[in-house]
Order: sequence, then structure tokens, then C-alpha cells
Amino acid sequence: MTARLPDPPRSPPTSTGPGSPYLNPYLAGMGLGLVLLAAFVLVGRGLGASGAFSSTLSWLVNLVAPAHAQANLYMQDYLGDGTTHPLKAWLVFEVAGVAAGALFSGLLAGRARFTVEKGPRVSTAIRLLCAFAGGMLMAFGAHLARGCTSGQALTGGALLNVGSWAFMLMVFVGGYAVAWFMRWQWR
Amino acid sequence: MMTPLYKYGFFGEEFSLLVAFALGLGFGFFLERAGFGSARKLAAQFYLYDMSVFKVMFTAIVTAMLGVTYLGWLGWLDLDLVYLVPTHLGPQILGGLVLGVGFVIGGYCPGTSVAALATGRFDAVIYALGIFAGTFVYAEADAPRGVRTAVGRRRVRGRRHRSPGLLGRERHRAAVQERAMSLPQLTLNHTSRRRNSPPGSSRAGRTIASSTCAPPPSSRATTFRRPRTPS
Repeated sequence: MTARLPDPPRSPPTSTGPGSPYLNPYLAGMGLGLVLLAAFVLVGRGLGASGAFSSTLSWLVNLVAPAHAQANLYMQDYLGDGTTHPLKAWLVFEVAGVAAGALFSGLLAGRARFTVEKGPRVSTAIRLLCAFAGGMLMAFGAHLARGCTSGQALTGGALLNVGSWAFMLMVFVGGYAVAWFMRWQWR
Repeated sequence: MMTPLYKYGFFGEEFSLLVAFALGLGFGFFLERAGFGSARKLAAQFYLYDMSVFKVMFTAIVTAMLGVTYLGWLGWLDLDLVYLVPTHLGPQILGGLVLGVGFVIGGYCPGTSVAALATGRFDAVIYALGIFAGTFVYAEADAPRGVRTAVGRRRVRGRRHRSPGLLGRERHRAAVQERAMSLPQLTLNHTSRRRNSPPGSSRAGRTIASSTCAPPPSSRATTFRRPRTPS
């Protein structure tokens, strides 16, 4: 930590509103890494997220239209044979923990509040529309690659999984490729 | 003592769900601590004025990697029993690209959206609804009722004419997505058989657990026709 680079231009503030400053990214990264390591040691698998969405969706569709859900090959995999509840899945519990842990941290730091994250130049309605579209794209991508940033990039990355590293690089390629076109949303 | 504890039978499935919740607590806590409950902080990575995503992500990867390596050397962690997502470069490259685009447009990835919606970000709630919608479209497109043919293209054509219940533009997008997906899906099915059972290796354990993020239904490769399940 000798010569410091000059601070990059900070046109929009990156900390949004009140609340204590964020944890040093390297410390937060070590924390995340240790949690991930604990997952390997305790259960022999990494962390994930998108699978919990699939389980929840299959459960919801099964509530509304059981015949439809049970005839769908994709949802069958998440519904199982009917002996266990579809929500009794590892990732569902893990993601419930993510929500609780994040809420705890947010309350502790005074960062939990009802708001919409967006740049100054975009209206709330457009931002929400983009969020929805982004969520849909994310779902397609996560299902194509069999995993999202947590399940593929983080978990597979730590295990030096070739496909996961290819995936991770492509996430950033895709992100940087469209970033310029989407800058009105964030800056 | 040998780990992973769960795979060595130190505790059962019920307890593993509690462990999942506890691990999730830690995961969510550090995600929020790092600022990943904020879409602006995450998106800043793509405009290079805040490199937190790189810093946090690669620190986490290196930390866990070092731990796995040393525990493996010491013989305390049986790496063969740690689940690895099988590598299929085609779908993973395409999926990564699509996901990256979705990241910049939506502002989150699935894990961080949960951290954000838990701390009151309404856009993350909408984003999560988008994930549900996308998963629903994917499920409907990829796994229609009744017959599954081995030839993805023919099925795609057939469904494009029928595809019920989807509105005009959605229908078109779904058809395009379908066509884009059917190819990697096929290669995926072909390769998974070969790679899942390397001869003479004791890696059977890797297929025990389902996939970490979006469990791959391995049965798909073998199922061409499934009987309709009575409701």
C-alpha cells in the first residue's frame, strides 16, 4: 500500500444514501470465501441461488395448476415424486438464509430501507421494466449454463472448473459489451 | 476426520437443510456487507468506477480455493466428493453472455437480488419476478407436455406454430430463445453421458448431489416420451 493511484472519476456516488460505509471489499471477499469453504467442508457442494427460484416457481405453478405443472418435464424435476415438499430443497433453505443474513447486515448498518436502485437520469417505471427484463434474461442464461454467478462463477471458480471460468469470463464480456448502451440507467 | 461431513454421513438430509440456512446467513451477510444489495454498486463494476465486484469475487474465489487445496493436501477434504458442475463449454459460454447482458440491464444476479430485496430494494423484487417469468417461459419452451423428440429443431418448429398462451412479442422472443437453446441442449445431452463417467475413476460421488445453481435434470437425456401424469 505505497503509491496510491489517483482516484477515478466518480460522477455518480456509489454508496447510495445513508448508512454506514461498506466493508472493505477484500475483507468481505475473504468472508464470502470462508463461507464457501465451509459449504465444501460441511456438505460437499458450493453456494447457489437460481435453483431456489426454480423450486419456488414449480411449487407456485403446482399450487395454481397442478395438472399443468406435473405434466411439465422441467417442473417435474423440482416437484419430485410428491413424497417431499418441493420447497424442502437445499437451495431454498440456503436462499432463505441469504435473505435473513442480508436483512440482518442491512439493519445493523442502517442500509435497509424501501427504495429503488437507479441512476439519476432514469424514471422509476423504466428502471423497474429493465429490472424485469434483466431478470428474465438472467433466468435464460442461468438455465443455459446450469448455474448463475454464485453456483457457477463463485463455486466452480474456486474449484478451478474450466466451464465455470469460461462462464465467468463470458459474464463480464456480455456485461461490458452492453454496458455502454445501458449507461443511461446507471449514470 | 474426513470431510465433506454430509457425504461421510455425519448428519442426515434434514440437518443439511439447517446447515444450508446457516451457510445462507453467512453468504447473505457478506454480500450485503460488501454492498452487493445495491444495484448501483454492482453496476458500477461495468463502468469501472467501483471495482468492488472484482475485488470481492476474486478474493472469495482465491480464499476458498486455497482452503480447498490445503485441506485436500492434508487429506481432510475428499475432493472427489465435492460436487462439480460438469463442463459444457458451448452452453456455458452462451449462458454467460446472456447472463452478463441481463446483469447490466437488471442490475443484479440471482443471489444478490435476494440480498437486495431483503433490504427493501423494490427493483430487486421486480427483478426476482422477472426471474420467475423467465424460468416459466424456459420451462414451457424447453419441456412441453407429452412427446419429446430427440431432434430439437423439429420440435421447435412445431411448437412455434402452436405456442399457446404467450402474447405476440413474447411468443416471438420465446421462439427465438427456444431455437437458441435447443442446440446447446442437444450437445449437452450428448456430452454429459460421456463425461459423467470417466473410466476407472472414483468420481461417482460428483453426481450424487444435484447441480448447485440450476440442477440439471439428467433424466432428460434418456427420456423421449414420458407418460402423462394424472393430476
